[in-house]
Amino acid sequence: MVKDINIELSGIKKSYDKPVLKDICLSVTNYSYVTIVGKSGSGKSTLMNILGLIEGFDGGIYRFNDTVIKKGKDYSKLRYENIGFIFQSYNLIPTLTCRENIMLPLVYSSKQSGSLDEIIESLDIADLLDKKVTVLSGGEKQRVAIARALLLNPSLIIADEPTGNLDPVNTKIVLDLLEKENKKGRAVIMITHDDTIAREARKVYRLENGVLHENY
Amino acid sequence: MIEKTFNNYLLLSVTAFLSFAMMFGYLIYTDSESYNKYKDLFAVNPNVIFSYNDAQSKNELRAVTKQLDKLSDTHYYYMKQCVAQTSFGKECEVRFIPSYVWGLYMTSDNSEVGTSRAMINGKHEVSIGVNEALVSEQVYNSIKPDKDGKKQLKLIFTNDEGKRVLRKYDVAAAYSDLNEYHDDLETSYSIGAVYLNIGSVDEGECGIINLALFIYTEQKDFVIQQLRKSDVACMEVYTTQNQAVLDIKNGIMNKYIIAAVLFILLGINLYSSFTNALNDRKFEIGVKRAIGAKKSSIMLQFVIEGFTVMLANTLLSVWAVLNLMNVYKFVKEIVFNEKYIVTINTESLILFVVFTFFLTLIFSLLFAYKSTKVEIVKYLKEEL
Repeated sequence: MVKDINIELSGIKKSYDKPVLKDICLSVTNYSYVTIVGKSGSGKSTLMNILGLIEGFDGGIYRFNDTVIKKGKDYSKLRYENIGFIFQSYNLIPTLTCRENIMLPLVYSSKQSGSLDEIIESLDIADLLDKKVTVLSGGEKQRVAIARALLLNPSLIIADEPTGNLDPVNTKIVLDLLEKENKKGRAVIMITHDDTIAREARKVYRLENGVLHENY
Repeated sequence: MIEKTFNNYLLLSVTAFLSFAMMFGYLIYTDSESYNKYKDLFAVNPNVIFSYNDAQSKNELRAVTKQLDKLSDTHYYYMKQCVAQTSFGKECEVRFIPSYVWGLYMTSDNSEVGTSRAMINGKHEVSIGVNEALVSEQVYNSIKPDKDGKKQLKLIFTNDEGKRVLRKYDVAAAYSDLNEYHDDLETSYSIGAVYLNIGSVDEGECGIINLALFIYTEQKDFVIQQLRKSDVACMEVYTTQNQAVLDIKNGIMNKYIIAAVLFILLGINLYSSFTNALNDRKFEIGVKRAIGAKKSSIMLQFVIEGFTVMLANTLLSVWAVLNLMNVYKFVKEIVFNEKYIVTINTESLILFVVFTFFLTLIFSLLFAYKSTKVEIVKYLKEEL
């Protein structure tokens, strides 16, 4: 059972040396499947980090369910209760085995894992569990990373270039998995620079010069 | 997980181990050296003062005893000394003592008071009657018992005019003191002193050659001053013990200074080792924070890890230093034939515990605090 998710960004601004995001407005709920495309350096990852509550913003309003997100506050609880991250570089801890990486979120959450066996089976990673991350292929790493992201049954999956380092076969596997999780009611936000992959989503946004345009 | 964490902390572990071993080693080495240097000195009662003089110093000693009589917490007795001939042809030293003494007298090399107390029938004190003698075990064994089973010592005294007189004494007890004589009576140069009651022989019959004054006092400074003022010998350990106490105090001061310098130097080393360990773990922290770890969870993890590493290395360094000191002790005893005791005093132990506790506390907390300052985004991007 996927929990309700309702996030809303309104007029979000972010600058480093120069403005990166200008008046970003975005709304995501259960079953949303959104991709954000844009050139390298367009601010896609910054937007993803803001959405994922791991980076603050300079202006605007961000509502995450009933919580108004404020700058400088730590939202670790909202993160582990609601968000599963999938990164282009997998971000698996190399000193841990696949099983330890997958189980890592449980160290920080008392929330019972809903369907560990089901996740392992659906991602076909049973044989990888006791292997070190460093011996896995890119596709295998990404599947382990997805298992970790799904472990706490998140209502929102944020995927930053999840297929960026994968071959076509593994790209299809990952996209199918995202599609499948989205159909269960999870909201999916995917960042990509690949238009073909972006079309997998129901809604595609293009980030250009810090402004978010709805593509279709 | 423990093995992986240990690998990550290897450099830190080596630094902490060496740091703590250096500190503990320094403390235990200086304490052991100091203890072994002074242990004999402090075993001697500083309240006992001894003045050993020739018979001509009688008047000077009398002047001293007049002063001593005025002190309520001071006791003394005379020991007079002469030379006599035994019935078995050996010359021996005769010491006249009061019927009751404390069992303290000079060593065989006349250097110190009380460091070589003879055991007399297992006790340090003896009471000798007017017709009784206390002899060495060697003399005791050489005297044949009479038909009643009693042993009698016959001594021939010669006075200043050359007049000889024979006296007989029942042997009251025998003392054993290996420093005093050799086992073989025929070849020995000394058969040990014979102790007699001071009333046993008139002074005019035996030709007193030396006078000794044994003093037990609580007012050591005053008594030492009186002896020196009267120009008589003064053998005491009180002054030497005071000097040793000063040396030990200086040693303690040095200990604190060195501990403070080590604290700073090792602190700098540990800081850099902790920083290295943290740099290696920044990606891990970033990932953990991204998947929902609170700052407090990360902080707790690093406090626990920091404490564990430091505690393990503290125990390891103590174990290693103790083993090393035992090797040192073994070398001292086997190679140099010196009895050596490995020890650390309470003060040093407290200093070491405080030293390690504060280094552990400061750096574990600093380490943990710095771990929470890791920017999630920055380190997630860096690991590719």
